[in-house]
Amino acid sequence: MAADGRGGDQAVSARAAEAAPDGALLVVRDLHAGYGGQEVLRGITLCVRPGEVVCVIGPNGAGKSTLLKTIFGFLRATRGAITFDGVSLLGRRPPEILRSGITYVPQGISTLPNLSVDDNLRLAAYVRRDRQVRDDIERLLDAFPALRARRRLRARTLSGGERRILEVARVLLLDPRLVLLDEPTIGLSGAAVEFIYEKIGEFRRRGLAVLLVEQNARTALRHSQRAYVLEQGRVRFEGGGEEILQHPEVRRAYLGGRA
Amino acid sequence: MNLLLTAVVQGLIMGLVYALVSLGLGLIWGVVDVVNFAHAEYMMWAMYATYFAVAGFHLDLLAALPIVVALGFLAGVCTYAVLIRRIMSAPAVTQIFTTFGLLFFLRYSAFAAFGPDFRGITWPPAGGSVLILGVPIGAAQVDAALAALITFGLLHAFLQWTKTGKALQATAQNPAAALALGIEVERMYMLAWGLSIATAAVGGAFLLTFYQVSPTVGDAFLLLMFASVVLGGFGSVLGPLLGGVVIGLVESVAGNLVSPTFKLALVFGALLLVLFLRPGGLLGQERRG
Amino acid sequence: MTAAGAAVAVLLALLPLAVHNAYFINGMILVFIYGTAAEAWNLLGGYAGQLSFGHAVFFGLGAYTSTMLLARAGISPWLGIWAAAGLAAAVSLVVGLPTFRLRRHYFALATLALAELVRVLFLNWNLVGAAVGLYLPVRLMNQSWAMIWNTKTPYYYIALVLFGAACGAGAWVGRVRLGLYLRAIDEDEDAAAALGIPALRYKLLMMGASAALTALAGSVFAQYVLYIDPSTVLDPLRSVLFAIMALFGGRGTVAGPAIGAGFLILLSQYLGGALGGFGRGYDYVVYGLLIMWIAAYERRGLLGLVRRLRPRPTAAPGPEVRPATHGADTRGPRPAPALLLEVAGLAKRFGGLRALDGVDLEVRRGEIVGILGPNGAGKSTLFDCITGYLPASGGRIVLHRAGGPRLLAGRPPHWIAQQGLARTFQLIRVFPGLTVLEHLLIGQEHRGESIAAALRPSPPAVRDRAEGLLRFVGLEAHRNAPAAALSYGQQKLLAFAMALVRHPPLMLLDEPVAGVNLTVVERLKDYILAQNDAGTTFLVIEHNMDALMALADRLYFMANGRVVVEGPPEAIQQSDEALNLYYGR
Repeated sequence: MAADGRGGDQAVSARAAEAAPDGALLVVRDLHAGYGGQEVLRGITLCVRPGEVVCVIGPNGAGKSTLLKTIFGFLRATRGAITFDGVSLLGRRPPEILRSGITYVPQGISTLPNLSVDDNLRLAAYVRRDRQVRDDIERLLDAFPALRARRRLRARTLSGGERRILEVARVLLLDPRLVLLDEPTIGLSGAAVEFIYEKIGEFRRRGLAVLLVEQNARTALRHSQRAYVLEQGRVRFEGGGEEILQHPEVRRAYLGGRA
Repeated sequence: MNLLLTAVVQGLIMGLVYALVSLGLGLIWGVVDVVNFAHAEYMMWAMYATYFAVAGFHLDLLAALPIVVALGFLAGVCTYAVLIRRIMSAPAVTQIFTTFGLLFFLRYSAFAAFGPDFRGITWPPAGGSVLILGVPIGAAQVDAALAALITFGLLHAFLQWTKTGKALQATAQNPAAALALGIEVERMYMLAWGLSIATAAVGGAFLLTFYQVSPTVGDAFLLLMFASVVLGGFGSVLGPLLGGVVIGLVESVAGNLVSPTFKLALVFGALLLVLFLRPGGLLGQERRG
Repeated sequence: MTAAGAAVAVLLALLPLAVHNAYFINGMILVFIYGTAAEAWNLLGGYAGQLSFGHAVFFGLGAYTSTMLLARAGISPWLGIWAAAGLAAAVSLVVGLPTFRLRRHYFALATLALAELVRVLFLNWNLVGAAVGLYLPVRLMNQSWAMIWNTKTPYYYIALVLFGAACGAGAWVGRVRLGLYLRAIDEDEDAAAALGIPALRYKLLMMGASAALTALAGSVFAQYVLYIDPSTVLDPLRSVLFAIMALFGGRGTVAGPAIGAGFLILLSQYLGGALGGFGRGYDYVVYGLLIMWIAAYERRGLLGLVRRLRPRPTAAPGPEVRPATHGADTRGPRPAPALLLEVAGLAKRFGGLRALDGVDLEVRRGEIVGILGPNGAGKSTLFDCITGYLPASGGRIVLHRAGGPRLLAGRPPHWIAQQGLARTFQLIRVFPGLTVLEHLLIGQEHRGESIAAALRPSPPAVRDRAEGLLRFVGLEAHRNAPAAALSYGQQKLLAFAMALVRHPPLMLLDEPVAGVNLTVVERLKDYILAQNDAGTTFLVIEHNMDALMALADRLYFMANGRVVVEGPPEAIQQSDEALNLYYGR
């Protein structure tokens, strides 16, 4: 993955065109989307492969959250293509997309505040019809002792970190093939952050593809194989590793300045 | 002291009845975020349906009950599918306007169909009175209060112990999150409307045993329903229950100890107080992600 | 008054001379009385957006007051109706004050509850006849001073004049500044406050006027039917009817309530006759259906349906944005002039969360100061505290004006706006139903604007300024288009222009170029620079780094609720500290 930031768009789309065919699970091509009359995504092209953790970083207003929302069907794309395992996701609604094997953990609170941890977990398995849900929940609680201790308590009594852990843990009940995470560590302290990324690492080992959006670029880069740097609705740079933060193109995406 | 005890017991019993007929209003307000000003009219229609089943077809009340409840559920689902669905994203004005239109339509259809006369039924288990804590209460009211408790219990069980019930709660608390979990939020809204009118139907059926029906019976109950829901908070089963009981108590205590003619004035005064001080209600939940 | 209106007026005036059908004349009298009440309701509910479902209170107060004065004290209703109107207005102000801050559903509920409360009181109050009601003294039949006749014609003309006055009041409000202000308040009260419009004052004014007119309708009604009791004049369904007539015909217009009243009453009369017996209620069944249909299909009521056939002028075609006339320039250092805005130790806590943790910043006259930083840094919270939308938990905010320093903390948004502070919002706030030109008219100076002034049209100076600004931002071709018809970029330009109308010394812009295409970004940059040259000081939050660096003289970098780095753009760009704050740990 050449970290050459030369003239943004053409180089990136050329790379994406090569990357797409070879085993990419999620392929996004020239995606445009927005709210009302406002265009936020102005032609995003990227891909994610199974067993990969790909992060999307960039300054505010870049469209990172909007990207995930559009992939999951909360927002309608105005132009472009999204394919998952070769099948188009355009025009599908969130429950359908969930059933195709994509799980989405949105930014902010997505647990049900007045339901217990147990109920939250059961609802996480809402689309499953098999009888092993209960066993899977028990096994999950073994892996997350903090949650087991609070299983009968209402989710809103959990601390911010515990809630985030619950949200990430829920993913495992559905055995998806792609996980979309929107700022999974926002507002969390060091230990909780490491814990979350440990779990994300586990997703990867199971062969899941992970696409995550992060405000905290450094941490995200430390735990992912590849990164896309978004700015003003476009992919400005593609690369990997913490070193890309020193790249002038990436600096420019965050703080402006002469090219 | 005796007067106070009478007032409290009467208030509790009637309060449970108010809670039952208000439950549906709170359910829709909490789950679908729509304020249904026509709720009392559905109860009125349920009362007419019960009347014709019992007086017309000579069914026992308990035999007629499932039919009336089923019809109520159906009415709720249809109302959502045909009308409410179209105004879901409309501003408050339109919602208020629409449900008032529904009120007119339902009330005056009843006028047209049944005329203005009052009608009632007699039901043997509702005759005479029972002693509760030494206070004589009409058996009909006690039966209604029991029906209320059973209905609340069933609904609570449904919401707490079934998958669909939990999904309904999830929709009320955070519809976007619910959608992301694969819950079909539209179907939940339909279910909420169905349940809402079905519970109003139970209330209406039992109410008929001690309160006569006419097309304008909604007048007497609409504000009491709102008072119960606003006071107790919507979004939970417990809210309208608590609110209804409190309203029943306020009305009874005011009526027995202060002044029977002005008791309603005191109830509405209480409603206004709550609106100014704590519109979320005593048990009001934080809504919506 | 339009030609059509004048023609209708003449027609109605001549009607009794031509038509002698008592049933029809009776219907028309009711149309005028209900129409007056509907127009009156519309002043509050249509223009000011406060949906009252308890207006029967004022109707009843009117009926009872004038009747009591006549029956018990022998005072002529020609005087009595004014006493009734005054009483109703006074009661409405007392009621309005605490209830106006309730949100829509709760306000509707509160008015319903109040109406019922009054009805129950009157039902049991012997002085006014309790449930038995009051009869007007029929022994005074055909004595004009008592306003009692045994023919319909005098009533017809009295009701017609009253109705005309009500329509006139509605039309007047619609034509003058007040009408615009009210519609803005109805659409977005917060955005109106940011322009300096004192919403409470105008809402109370409409409340009083609405109550007074409704009371007059009630008094005339009493004089006509000669008997009143709580179930006829204090009936809650009557309140709902007034509202429904206005909503059905089209609220916020003059013709709407009139049409609504006419349509619904005549429909009732016809259906009553055709379907046999008023008591069967078929007319209301049809009402109900029509109301639901209109609500779901055309929210602007019958008038809205008519308008669909006759489309209004929308945004004119042509290039969306004109080419830039202002060249890019370099921002050189400037001498330190007078202090304009001073923020010291500003803190804002939400429970345990410290959104602002001691922010110090200053803005000097003629500067463009920028604020940047990661999400959650507190930038918008800072703006909301400065402009009065959020109460600060601590610290000082001082605006230095010619007359002396003004402390802004704890003051309401419209007051702060009137001190010379303008703002735009991160999520764009324009008034979708108002035209482009109307936006600029409501942006005029409100400081020191009396109610009398609001009851006049905007002065020529304001119109000239509005036109000038429209040309400045290139929107003059769209002056009559509703804001909802504009593109996002055009709306951003409109919000910008609207805030400029009153020559504010200081403008706070929250992400002014977010979400728009490059052309509009360039245009907005040029406009900001041009305005700055003309003397306006700017404080700008932005994430678009290119734009911010090109515009700002100085920057404040915020993170975690405080200012972490400050300095000129070049310094910030080289700052590793700033970059690391963006990059995270």
